[in-house]
Amino acid sequence: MSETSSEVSKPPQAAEKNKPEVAQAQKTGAVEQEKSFFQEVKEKANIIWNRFKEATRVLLGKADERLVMPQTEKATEIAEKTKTGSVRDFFKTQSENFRDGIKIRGNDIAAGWYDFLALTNKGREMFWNKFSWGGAWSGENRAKAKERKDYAKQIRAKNVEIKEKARKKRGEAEGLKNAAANIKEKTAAV
Amino acid sequence: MNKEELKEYLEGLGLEEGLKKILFEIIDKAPVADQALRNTIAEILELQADFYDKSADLLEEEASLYEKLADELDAIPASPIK
Repeated sequence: MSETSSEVSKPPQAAEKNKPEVAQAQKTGAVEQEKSFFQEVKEKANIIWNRFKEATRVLLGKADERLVMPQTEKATEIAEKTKTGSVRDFFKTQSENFRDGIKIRGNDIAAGWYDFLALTNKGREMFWNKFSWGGAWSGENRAKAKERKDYAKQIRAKNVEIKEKARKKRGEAEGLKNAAANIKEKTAAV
Repeated sequence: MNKEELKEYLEGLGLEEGLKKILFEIIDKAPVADQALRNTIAEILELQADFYDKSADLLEEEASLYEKLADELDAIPASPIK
């Protein structure tokens, strides 16, 4: 009789928590939460990555069209006029190397991307551990999330580095244009 | 400006070794530093300037791809638990 009254006096919420069907419902909720979150991350990540890959492919095409082909064409003209084949080779190689540099930097980003995906998978695994064995999911996941943010930071750093490279090239271009004009002017003076 | 003066002038531009070598080769081949030679040298320098300009354009485009990628990655939620 006393056992019965003790059970009756339990707070209704606690009693509710102990029911297997409630635990199952919580687990089902967690499964749904996991499914929707990681599915969303995976889908978004794939969209972002495919967009980046496509944009890089387009950029490489532009490098061929706007740099490699016209530079090689013009250098071939000069090479024929001066009978100096090395002019063509120099400009062709220089522009092809530049184009390949875009590809190589893109590949570096891709290497980091696989780590990014691995971190997302790790997050998923830790999420499951939390529900299976009560792991400290949240703190660990925050650390992983930080690593993912670091990847974005690395990409931003690359962006700054490339912009600086572009700025220097503009300066070098100006210097050479002035030099070319100067040589022509001196021609007139001689 | 004779051939030696032309070389000296080019030397002072701090050109890439490969390019300088080509220009010197062309100067050495020419009998005199005439108008045609100087125009050719100027043409090559302009082609190199064009290379720098075009590559700067492409680098700026490349940089913007990276900026966009970083923005989009930052926008991905980190955790299902708020």
